[in-house]
This record gives sequence, structure tokens and C-alpha cells, in this order.
Amino acid sequence: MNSRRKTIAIVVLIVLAAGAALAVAYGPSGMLAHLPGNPLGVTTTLPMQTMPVVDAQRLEQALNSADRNEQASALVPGLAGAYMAQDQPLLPPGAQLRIVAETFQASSPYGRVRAEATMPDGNISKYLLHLVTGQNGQWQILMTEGAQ
Amino acid sequence: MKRLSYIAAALAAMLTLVAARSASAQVGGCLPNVDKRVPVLLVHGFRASKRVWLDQPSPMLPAIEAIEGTQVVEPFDYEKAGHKWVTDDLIGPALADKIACMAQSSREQGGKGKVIVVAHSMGGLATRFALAESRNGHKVSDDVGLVVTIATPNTGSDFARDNLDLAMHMCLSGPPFTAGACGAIAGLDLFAPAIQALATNSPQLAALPGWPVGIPVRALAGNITSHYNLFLAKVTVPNNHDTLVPTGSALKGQVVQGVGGTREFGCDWDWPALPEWPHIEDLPCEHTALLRNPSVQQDVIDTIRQYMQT
Repeated sequence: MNSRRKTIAIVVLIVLAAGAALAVAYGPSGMLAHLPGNPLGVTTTLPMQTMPVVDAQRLEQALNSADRNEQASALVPGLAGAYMAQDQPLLPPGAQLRIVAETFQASSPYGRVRAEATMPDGNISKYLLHLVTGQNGQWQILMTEGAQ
Repeated sequence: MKRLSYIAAALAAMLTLVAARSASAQVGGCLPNVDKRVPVLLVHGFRASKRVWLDQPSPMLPAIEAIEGTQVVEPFDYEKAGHKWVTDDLIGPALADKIACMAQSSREQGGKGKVIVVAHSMGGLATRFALAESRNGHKVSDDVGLVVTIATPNTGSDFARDNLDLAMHMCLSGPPFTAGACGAIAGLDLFAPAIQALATNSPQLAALPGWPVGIPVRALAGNITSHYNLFLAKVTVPNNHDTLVPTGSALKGQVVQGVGGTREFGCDWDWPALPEWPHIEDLPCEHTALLRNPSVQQDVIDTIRQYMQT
């Protein structure tokens, strides 16, 4: 085994726990290249970073669109297909989502950012968006959770 | 003189022991106490050991043992070669030796001369190899009455290929992914011969014999369905795998005289909020957790009971 191959092997041996192996494998086909993983339950504290303005704008524009195809473009590919195949809206028609870019935290390829959705009745719902970077380097949504 | 008599006595004792062992070997072979019972042999998978069957509290083994006419024997263990392909001398050929020897023991003691094999993951492929072998002019496939496979990648698993790039990316990406968690499963060597051979359409898999006609094969598989929260929507994604083995790859059974066939065990996974990632073992249809799944265990028991009644 030459040294390069040995280095690769060592790196690979370190890998699998991090969820490349396991958490990733849960992901839908086509999404495998996007999921982070931490199946051992290690708590992560992500460093603060600045979310590229272009990413925040792109995500907001997609999520606020009435076009489901446009909405799906904000999601990782494996989820985008599944979302299109189902009939549930991400947000009620007329809702407006704003990404709070200054809350962005990331340790590539995983990141998270807060968002606020102003509902048609004027109420505000807060969310934490879990993001991963796709092959093109753009942040895409992996899942969301309600936030305070 | 006294010394000489001690030596003589010791020699006599040794000769008696040797004679007794030799007689025992002639009568019972490798299973001297099997009598007319059918031996049940467990075969583990890639980079595992017989401990996967023994270390976890499981009602399955006592339940199999309780089926009239069966005897659960010492599991086949190829831990030292667990990363190698099933053609390695310590895996497939050694398994063929063991099956042939146990069947011979059974015959010598008036039994059916058949062995029941229960195999997990790559253990099923080792069994396929072994069944195509012959020992002393006798087909090993004639020595097996029933095979039960759990999550065996009959047509391969592309886990390594699909995850290699991401795995390397993550490990190089810095904390938290390079932290202690990374080292926890360091034993899984993606360059292992078995991993290469397990790739779909690999020449090694293509060269592996299929299940012999006439042996019932019960093939059990896991299938995880994931659910993701996306604002107000919940998106369902069928994975069609048990994390490591595609469901379709594991569902390769065959029915003979009403015994065998296939069964899929599904489970749902609601993705929780990161970073509190799930423990893998919480999923009952995950690749290794299938061994602890009570429904899977019951299926194995029922299949063996059904075979014993034929």
C-alpha cells in the first residue's frame, strides 16, 4: 500500500462513526451526498459564520414562492423529489419567510440558521433550519424544527 | 523403582485418554452429542463474530433449542478473517468443512444428516459459497435442510461506494465530525476485500453460486422509511435499505415444500432535531438491530419449526 493509499485508508477508517456511515445511510437516495451525521449523539457546537447573502436571498425567494418547483429548489435533492410527490405545502399560501442570517452557524457541510414566518393572520412562527451544502456549494434545507 | 511405576501409571492414563477421545471422535465426530437432533448453525456477517448471537440477551436461541428435534450448536466464527471475502479459506471453505462434519455426525448417530443454517448479512453469502462445495465426494448442499438469512446482500451493497466520498469529506471538514465519534467505528475498513466484493455487479459476486435448488431459503430484510419535518409539511422518504443492505438485495429466498420465502420488516424514522442524532440501535429494522428485533426472531423460530414439521 503506497503512502497516499495508506493516508486515504486512515482517513476512511476514522470516518464511519461520524455518520457518513450510518446517519447518512438513512437518507434517501440522491441525498446521501448531503447528509451530515453524528449517530453517536455527540453534541455539536457550531462556530458562528456569516451566511452568504446570496444564499439567504435564494432560500427566502424559493420558500416564499407560490411555485412548488421553486420551493423544492431550497431542499436537498432527495427531499425535493419526495416533497414534489406529496401534496403538503411547506407554509400556508401568503406566508412570508425571513431568514435571520446573523444567527447562522456552520461547520461545513452542516449549518443552521433561524427563520421567521409571518403567517397570513399576522402571527409569527419561528423555525430553526438545518442546512447542508450541496455539491455546488449552496446551502440547502435538510429539515426544520420549531423554535422559540 | 517407585519412580518407574509412577511413569508407567502416567503413560497408561494418557493412553486411556487418547483411546477414549479417539473412540469418541469415531462415534460422534464434531458433534458427539447431537443424537438424532438437527444441528442449527449460526453464521455471523462482515467484521463481526459469534458474539453477535451470544452477547445479547435474546429469547431466540432458547426458543429454537426448545423446538423438538433441534440443537443449537456453537456458532461458526470467522472473526479473524471477517474483513475478507467469503472465498477465503477461513470463511466459505471452513464453513463447508463444518457443515459437512456436522451432517456426518448426525448421520452416524441416526439423525437426518441435515444442518439448519441461520446467517446474518455476509454470513449468507458465505453459506452460498459453502453449499456449492463438496467434501469427500459428497455435496455440502445435500447436508443442509434449511437456510434462514437475515439482511444478506445477495446482489450486493453499495454502501462503501456511495459513502466513501462523503465520509472523507466529513472527516476532513473539521470538528465536530473529526471528533471522538469518528473513531468509534474505525474498524470498518472500506478498502477491505469484502467491501470491494460486495459492490453490486462485482466480479466476485457474479462468481458466487446462487442458492441450490431444493433447499428452502427464508430471506428476511429490513426497510427504513424516513420522515422529515419541513415547516408545516412532513416529507416521507422510502429508503429501501436497512442502512447497509438494500431491501431488494436481501429478499432472495426460495420456497421448497411450503417452507422458505421472503419477508420484509419495515420501520419508521422521524428525524429528530440535530444535533441530537439518533442511536442507530434504536431502529428495529436497522441492519444489525434486525438480530434483536422480536418479530425477526419469531420468524426465524417459526420457519425452523415449520421445517422440522415437514
